[in-house]
Amino acid sequence: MKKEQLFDLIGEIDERKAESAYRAVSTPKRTRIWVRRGVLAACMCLLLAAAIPFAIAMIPNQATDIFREGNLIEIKCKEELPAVYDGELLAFRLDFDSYEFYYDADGDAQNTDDWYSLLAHSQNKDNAVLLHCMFGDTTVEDWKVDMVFTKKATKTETLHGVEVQIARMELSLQYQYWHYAIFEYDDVVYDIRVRSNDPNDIYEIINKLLVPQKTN
Amino acid sequence: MEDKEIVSLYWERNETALSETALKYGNYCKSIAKNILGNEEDAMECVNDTYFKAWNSIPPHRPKILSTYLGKITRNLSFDRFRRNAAQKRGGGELALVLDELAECVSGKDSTEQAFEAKELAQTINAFLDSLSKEKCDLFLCRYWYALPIAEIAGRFGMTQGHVSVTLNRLRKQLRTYLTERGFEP
Repeated sequence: MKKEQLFDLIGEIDERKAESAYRAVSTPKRTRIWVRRGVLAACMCLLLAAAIPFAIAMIPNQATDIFREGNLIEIKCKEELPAVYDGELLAFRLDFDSYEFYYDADGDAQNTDDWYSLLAHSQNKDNAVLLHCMFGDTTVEDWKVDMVFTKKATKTETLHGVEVQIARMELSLQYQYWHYAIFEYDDVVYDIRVRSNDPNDIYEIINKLLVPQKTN
Repeated sequence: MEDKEIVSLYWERNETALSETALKYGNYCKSIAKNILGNEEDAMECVNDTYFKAWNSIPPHRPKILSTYLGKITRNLSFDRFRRNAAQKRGGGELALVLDELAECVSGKDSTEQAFEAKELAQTINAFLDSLSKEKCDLFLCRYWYALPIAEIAGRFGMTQGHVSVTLNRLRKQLRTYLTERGFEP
């Protein structure tokens, strides 16, 4: 199937769903995050008032500046991004301030045993980076198949001792390419997507993630 | 004016139907066309064509949801115009990005056989949307039905742009898996 066909097919879905989505955006919800945080703060106050000793005991274990949306939880400060794997989480090697970080789990953000994956996202006018670090049972082979299936140009390279599969997909009007890279390092599968016209951009990200293992 | 009354005007062949449609749904149709085409002039032409097409198709049709009926006409007309513009290497609104995202869900192959599956595929996409929470379904459709920019979706849903991008990325992956598991080679 071609992407244009898929866009056409999405136009054929149940009209009630399309109308419902339109209604959802007709009513702005810009304050929702703050409302949610306000409700959370109010609940915390009640809890504190009702059971101060318990609350005091609990507070150090709470991530205080994160919010939940489905199973994605935003990581708002470096302290919520614990150092793991060879003394340092690879995503931590990225410039924290340039990215938004999320972890995917129903559990404690500071307990990496609860993590299923970590996502880093960065976007500006000309390019975008999406980094997906997958923990647990995911294997690089699963993702290689996925990548070969959808992308046209693929190649495998060994970079800093790690086998990296790289793919490129040509885009339509505004941007020329998405570049993809997938590799496994320290039992973590990394899926990197960079929307950029410069193929060096994805190598720059890979280098940031892999070079420290040689220098440490 | 209520939608039922507007539809009745179409059925009575009363041209007030057009001005009432423009009054109530002009901006809605224009926003769809503009998201897809990124060009005010082309968008306005598509909106005018939408009124014309609605006039010619009601009757015999009696749309249950007038907004989506008109929106769908606008979407189709705008998409046709987008393809013509793309062939001439000009223009390009949010849709270029939307299509590039959707490319991750499909193989890019074209086959005649697949054309016969279109109806079944649309039903499967419907079922996929049914399996999502309402918020995720709305998010998906805002991007892939209405071609809304990510920044606008984020503003409307009270989310960050990164959160919207990441969620959409996952939904695309889920859709591809969903289609593959049901025997469609996307």
